[in-house]
Amino acid sequence: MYSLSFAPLVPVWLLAGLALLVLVAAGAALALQRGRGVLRAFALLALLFALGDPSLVREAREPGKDVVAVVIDRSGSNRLSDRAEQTARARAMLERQLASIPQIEPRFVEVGDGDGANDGTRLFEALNATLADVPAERVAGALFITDGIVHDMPAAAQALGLKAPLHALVTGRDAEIDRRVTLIDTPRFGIVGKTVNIRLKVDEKNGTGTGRLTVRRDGEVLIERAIRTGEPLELSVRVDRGGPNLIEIEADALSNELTTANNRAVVTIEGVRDKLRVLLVSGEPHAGERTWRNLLKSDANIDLVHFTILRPPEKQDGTPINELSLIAFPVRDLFQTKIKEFDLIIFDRYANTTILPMVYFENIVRYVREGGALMVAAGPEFSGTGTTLSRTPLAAVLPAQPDGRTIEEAYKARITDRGKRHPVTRDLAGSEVDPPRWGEWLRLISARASEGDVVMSGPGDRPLLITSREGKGRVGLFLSDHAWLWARGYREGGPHIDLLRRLSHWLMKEPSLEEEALRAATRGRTVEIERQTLGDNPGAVTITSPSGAARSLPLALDRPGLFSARLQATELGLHRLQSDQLVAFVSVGSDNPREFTEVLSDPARLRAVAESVSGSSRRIGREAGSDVDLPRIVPVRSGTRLAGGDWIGLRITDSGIIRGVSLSPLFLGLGGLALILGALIAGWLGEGGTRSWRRRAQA
Amino acid sequence: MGVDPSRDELGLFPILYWPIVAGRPLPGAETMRRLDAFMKGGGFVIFDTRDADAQRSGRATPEADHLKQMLSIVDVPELEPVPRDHVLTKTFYLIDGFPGRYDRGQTWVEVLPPPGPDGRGPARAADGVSPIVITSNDLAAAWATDRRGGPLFPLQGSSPRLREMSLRGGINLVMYALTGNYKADQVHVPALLERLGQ
Repeated sequence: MYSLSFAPLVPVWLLAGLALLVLVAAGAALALQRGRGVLRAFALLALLFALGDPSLVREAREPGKDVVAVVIDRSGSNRLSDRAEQTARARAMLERQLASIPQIEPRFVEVGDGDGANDGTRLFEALNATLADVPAERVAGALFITDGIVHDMPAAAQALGLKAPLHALVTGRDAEIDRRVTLIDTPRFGIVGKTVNIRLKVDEKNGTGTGRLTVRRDGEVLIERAIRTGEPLELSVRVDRGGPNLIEIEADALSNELTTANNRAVVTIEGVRDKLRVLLVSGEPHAGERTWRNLLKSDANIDLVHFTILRPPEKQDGTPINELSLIAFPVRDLFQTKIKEFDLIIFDRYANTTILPMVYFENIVRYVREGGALMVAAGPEFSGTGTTLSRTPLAAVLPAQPDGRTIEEAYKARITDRGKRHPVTRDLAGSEVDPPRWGEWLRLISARASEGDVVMSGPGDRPLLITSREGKGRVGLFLSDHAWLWARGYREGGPHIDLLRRLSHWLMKEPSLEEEALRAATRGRTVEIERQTLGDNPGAVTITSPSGAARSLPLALDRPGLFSARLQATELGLHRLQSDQLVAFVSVGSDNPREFTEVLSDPARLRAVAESVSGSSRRIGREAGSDVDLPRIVPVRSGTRLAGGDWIGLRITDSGIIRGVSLSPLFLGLGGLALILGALIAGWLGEGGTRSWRRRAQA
Repeated sequence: MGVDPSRDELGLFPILYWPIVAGRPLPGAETMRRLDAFMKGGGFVIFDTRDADAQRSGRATPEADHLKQMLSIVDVPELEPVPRDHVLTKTFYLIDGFPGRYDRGQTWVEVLPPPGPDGRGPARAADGVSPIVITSNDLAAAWATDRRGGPLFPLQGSSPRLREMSLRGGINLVMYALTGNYKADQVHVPALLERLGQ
């Protein structure tokens, strides 16, 4: 591009004065000499021109393009129904349209779901990142292809920092159908065995007004009832166990519903155990009794009720009762009226003399089968015939029967192969080596195991510790009363605290000690799956993602009894895991992902912020089919209207970038001199020549 | 049963009864460390200076000095005379003293921790059993019998029930070693049972 520029050699007022003189002189020359005066006038003008020092300027200019950011919402909600297809079509059409406007540089950016965090859709963040290197004047506009549900909309339009229009092109359609569960009030904690109340509401658009609500706890149906939508309702749910209880609330789907992901809400209630009540019955005072007492009394979660049979009924002497510190053993209270209140009953070297009538043993058997827990720590009395518990009705739930022998020799208790997989005995300190690094015990009651899992063994592979399940309850049988030797540090002692604590808590159904368990946890998008089993091969775990897609994942052996797998989740929301009969749930992202709580597309949401920068928000999705109606894109150089019924405007500034400038002086130098001198000489020759030619003609 | 605390495995024994004889060589440091470990691991030691008879106010007997020297390297808790309501007085028999051959000697036991905030007995991590009892009443002499069951030593004092009482005291000490604070807890059992099922 060329242009002319002047840089006068004399001040402007002088130049103006000279110009006036030149004009007068040139005018006089023309008037007096007519045709011949032209050359003289030209020479004067050329001289004046030279004083102005004109030069030719050449600018090396790059045509500047204005930037249009096109932010495309690829989040979960904008993939619902046929929104993904609408989005793709809109993008293709935009690409074509924008390519036909030469002054514009389009920048396309796609925004997916936030990484694990419950951020929702963050389009404005992406917009700012895209335009970070572009001066505000060179931004022609911003276009959003979205379903309108954006979670990082600035509260004030000024915060946007945009001087160009923002146009939202909204996918979806007006006649969308959706039903969703909205949680109003949910408890975070609950006491195990008590009920908690959850308040919620089922909202819908274009729905039927009534529906069915299903409530599940850890996959098992708790409540199923008909509901009216739009009305708050309250559910009572019993907290069943310690640790996280996953309550899943689901409303039935409408036909042609946008998504069923928000028909479901998950409430995680942390079950807090009330104090566990343990009844310890010691058959006689003995050296191991205080080990039990120390263990159970130091456990803050346990209320211990302890009875020791200090004097069996047959040992009566003449001591007056007021000199004895003895009370009657309240058998009826313990084993009849209040038996259900105990979480665990421990018989510690208990010999059944005549103290407990048979009917109470039958009560205990029933108590166990209905979900109670019983532990028998057997001493020498167990192998006898007279007073052994194995000759009472209790035998029905005992996993082993004594064969009458008591083995009295020093031996090291060993963890069996099954025990290495059992959470009660796995990784006990000292068991890493063989023989184990712990002290010996000196007595074992020989018995034949008939059921349950033998997790520890004594000399000759005889069972030492057996755990078993009986109906809904659990039974532990310790065939030695010598765990106290570990406590007393006999021959370096052993891990009695770990062993006995885990055993008693396993009996009381501590979830983290289950033999067969499927657990899952998330770290960001990574789902870590752990399968605890006593078996050899738990097979694969099936994972069902929120969209219903199921896949199978193999489990790899981690440690004995523990298998694990990892999964990178691609979807947010509640994943269901299944391995054999075990079901676990894990929520990727948050329990109730923001992305799916609101899914109804709506141009109105972005309207205010778009119009604050002279933009617009409109629906592009057609009511039928996945076609889109895209407005025309019009470059606007001036004017304030930047959107209309069927068009959207982009602000074009025609700005460019100057890369270099070259100056070529026109009148300074030889060319200018030649022109001025030429004109003067021509004038002189013209005037002189004419006279001499005349003179010659006269001669 | 005789025990050599420097050689025998102490862990097997719930109770050690250790009569003090002044003038005997002091046990070695290694032995006392074993005894210390025994006490910390849940063992129970009765030291008997057997000098109640010789005690005069303000003057330490040779036996007491001997015991003091012996225990100088052992981690002995703070002691107090057995309080009237101590669990030792009710572990089996209800008694108010621990007489042996003599009756006037004081019996010392570990200081009870202060009651917990709820006033329901001391707040403690475990069962909190005193690992040591020191007496000067020569308990063993009162318990000793010959082959026919007759007493070996005459008792000092006039009460005919003294020997019976010394035996009851002994039984309570054994019960304490075995059952710990069981009887102290039992005060709360009726209340606990009452609370159940509510």
